[in-house]
Amino acid sequence: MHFFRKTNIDFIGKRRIWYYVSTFVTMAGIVWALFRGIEYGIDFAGGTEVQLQFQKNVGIEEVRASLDKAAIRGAEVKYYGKDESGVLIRVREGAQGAQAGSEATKKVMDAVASGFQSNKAELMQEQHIGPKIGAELRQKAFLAVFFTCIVILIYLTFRFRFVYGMGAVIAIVHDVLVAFAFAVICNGLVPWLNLEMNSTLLAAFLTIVGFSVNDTVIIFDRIREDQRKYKGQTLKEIMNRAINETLPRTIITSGTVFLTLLVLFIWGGEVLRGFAFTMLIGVITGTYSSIFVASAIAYDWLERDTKKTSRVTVGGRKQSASKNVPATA
Amino acid sequence: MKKNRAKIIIILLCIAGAVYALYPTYKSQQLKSEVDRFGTSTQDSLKKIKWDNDNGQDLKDANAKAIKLGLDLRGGIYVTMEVDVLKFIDEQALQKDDLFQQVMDATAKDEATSENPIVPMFVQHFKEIAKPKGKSLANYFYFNEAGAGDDGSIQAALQKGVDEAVDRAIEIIRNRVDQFGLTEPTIQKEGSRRIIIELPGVGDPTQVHQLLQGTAQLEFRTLKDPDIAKRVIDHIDQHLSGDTTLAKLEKLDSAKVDSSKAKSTTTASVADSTQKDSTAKPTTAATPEDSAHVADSIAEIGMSQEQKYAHFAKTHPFTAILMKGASRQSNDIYVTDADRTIIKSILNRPDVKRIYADEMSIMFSRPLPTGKNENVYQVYFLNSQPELTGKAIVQATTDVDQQTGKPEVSMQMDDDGTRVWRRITHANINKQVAIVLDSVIYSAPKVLGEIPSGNSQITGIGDMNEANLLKIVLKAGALPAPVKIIQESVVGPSLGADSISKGLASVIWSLIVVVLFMGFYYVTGGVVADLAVMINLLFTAAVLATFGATLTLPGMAGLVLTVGIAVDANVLIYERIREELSLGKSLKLAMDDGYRRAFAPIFDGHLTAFFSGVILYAFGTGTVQGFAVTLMIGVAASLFTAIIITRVVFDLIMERNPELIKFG
Repeated sequence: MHFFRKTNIDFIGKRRIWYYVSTFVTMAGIVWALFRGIEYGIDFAGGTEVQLQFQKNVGIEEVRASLDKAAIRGAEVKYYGKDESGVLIRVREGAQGAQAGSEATKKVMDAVASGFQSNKAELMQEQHIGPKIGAELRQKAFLAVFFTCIVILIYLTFRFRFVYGMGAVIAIVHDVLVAFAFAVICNGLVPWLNLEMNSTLLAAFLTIVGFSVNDTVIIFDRIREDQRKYKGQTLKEIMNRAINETLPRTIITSGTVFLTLLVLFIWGGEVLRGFAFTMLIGVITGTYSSIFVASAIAYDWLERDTKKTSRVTVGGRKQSASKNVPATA
Repeated sequence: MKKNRAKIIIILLCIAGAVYALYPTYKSQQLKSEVDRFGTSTQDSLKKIKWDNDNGQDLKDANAKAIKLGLDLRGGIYVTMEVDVLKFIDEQALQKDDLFQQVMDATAKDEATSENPIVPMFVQHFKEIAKPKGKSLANYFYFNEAGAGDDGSIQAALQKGVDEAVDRAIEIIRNRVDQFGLTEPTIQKEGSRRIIIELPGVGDPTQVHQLLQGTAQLEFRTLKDPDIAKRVIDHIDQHLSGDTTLAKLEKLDSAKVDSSKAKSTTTASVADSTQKDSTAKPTTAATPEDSAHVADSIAEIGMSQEQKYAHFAKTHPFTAILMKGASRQSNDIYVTDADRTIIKSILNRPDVKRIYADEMSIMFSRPLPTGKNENVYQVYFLNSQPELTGKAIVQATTDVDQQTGKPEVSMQMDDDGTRVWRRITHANINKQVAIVLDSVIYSAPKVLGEIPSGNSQITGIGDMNEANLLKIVLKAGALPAPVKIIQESVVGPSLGADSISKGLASVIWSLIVVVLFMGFYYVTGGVVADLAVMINLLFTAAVLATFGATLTLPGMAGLVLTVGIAVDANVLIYERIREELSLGKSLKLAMDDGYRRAFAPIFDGHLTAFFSGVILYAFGTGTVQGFAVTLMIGVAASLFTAIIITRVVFDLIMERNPELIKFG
């Protein structure tokens, strides 16, 4: 079996299309997401969260009513899990009736117990995050994404050239933004899809970064190799060739990772579902960006540089003004 | 084969090592399911005691080396606590007027938003608000150690108090958690005023809050008279062995206690009325000892030492366990952790409690290290009521004795305490008084003489660390450490078990999916790659077990992802090989070139994946770190399995049946 054997698509030539598509999707996604509002999980927002499993299905309003009776106001209640017997109750920090986490849990449990005499609730999970810790985690999340990009930029500059590093980083940022947008937009569209921003989702974003770069690096390696082999060809021809040559591998690898993530999505349970969904999106955009975006950006950047000067000095070696710019520094 | 011989040996050794590393995990699962069979009836309790005796150590060892499950898989509680510095300052203040309140309010606002140390902020606000009105810190605080009472030394004393408060809190919590008898609780200091506590297996948060936030109980108790202690223990023995005859015999002569029982481990000169020998009882039993001796001698004819001991253990189950720890040199009893658990479980049974609880308390010391990496606990028999509580203590300090150069602890008591202490010391000269914190004995010094002044010195302490510990303990009773919970995560046991099964299902299904695909697409190559992936998972699990890393639910996601990445390496190699083959190269050459050329992209790709794992680990919280760890280990291992192992396997096949090798 062979997929994608001997393709000859002009990726670089058609790059304007990809630029438009990418920009459009990213912008539209971000706008829509901001419009919809980002829902922060408890670890970023602070507060108390209690996950209960009732024996029988319950109504959200009933649960809220039982909480109101115990003077716990402003609690969010939503379904969690496969059906309507699992409930997630959230009390934000500073909301009415909220106190130190442990007491809040007890209050919630008591309220529910008295409100639902015949339908016992079991405590599955409980989390309480004070406001300080919430703020710390948010800060750490941002730093994590930032540092990952820096580290990758440095590594790629080292292994290839700065422009390739930039191409890769732009592709990564694009991937994270799109995945982020999708997560926000799709959050809660279906009851069993819980995509609030929490630590697990952050882990998904960082992993997407890792994967996207992985794909991109494979293509860059090929470009570098082909440049040595096919000295006569233009940069555009070489890049196209490289991408076409690695296409089977890129698709298959992304395919296998996609399949494993699909398994996680279906069988992994509540906690991992959001993670799996985000990563599924990330794998798709990651593959897309590696193929269509990363090299194209590097190409444009390099072309702009060569047009500017008649002689290009690359890594100490003088070159005549040709488009054969080596990839290695 | 020859050139690969070394590699093959190394690979096989690694696999063997991995299996060896994972064996404890398997064993602990097995043993756990055995334990779960025991119910709560008396019969089962005794059976469990026996089982613990035989297998307790094995279970402990296996648990120590098995794969650690994270809280989200095991169920349990993860708590971050912080010393409430403001509350501490508040409690230290001698008077709290309006000015003081203003300073506190200003500091409270700062505390909510800033990470900076609070004592300096407090002093800063004090200077701004109260100083201009003519007040100084000495108006509000008094510390023994602060000497001159100037602002600088008072601030230093406050800071010192805060630092000590954290240590106190940790010791109190550690003490209490230890009593819970949990498997591997973790208590760690983070930064200058935070404590991180992990309590696996605890499902009820309210229990834990009591544990973590209640005031520490410090007590002074006198030791029980050894004879009376022994009698109570005998009663427990009788009850446990279902022996009623001895009770009757005892009643005949209740004052007499066979004190030789307690010391002998080899001669069981005890009353024996097990089934067979009841007929051998003499009809003229004048004293318990007489009948005991006769009955025993008859029973013991032909018994070896071990048998005698087993015989003894049967009729005196409780004493037998205690005797295991009897010291030859003194009257002290030291037991291992496993035995301590057994003893505690016996003592907690309501039927047993009825026998001893009114008369005495049986408590343990804190863990005492032996030379051999194990801890023992000294067993104490105390009066059931405390003579004095920690409220009586006003101050405790460590000192070095001028003459002997040895560390000692000085403690001062308040007026009431001084009176009571005088009485106690007067009545217990040359006897021991136990210092008990939350039912754990930290020290049991001998009273050398009456102490009328309320100032005592505790000597005979091993080293300065011990002295510090004792000081912390004494202060804990007097001055609790105000700590608050700032973060708390509870995972109920059923969610934990559910997560494990879901996680395992995902790993298995993803493996199946990938295996099938690779098999179809790359034929032989696919099968070899599948083998490599499975060995990869084996290695990852083994590394987790060996380094005591924790497996969390995201960690299992990491395993699933590793499966995807590991195959990637092989996909790269095989696509390359296919290319080389289509160029017309021979199989051998194509494979050589394929492996060679694919190495660079594989390495780059894996390295970047590894980097994102490192950053995730650095910035993430507990469960996310679990993901990062499995990802990093899996990626690193796949370099070995995907490249080297597959190559070796191919070489082996090449030698025998080269025609089998196809890449689709």
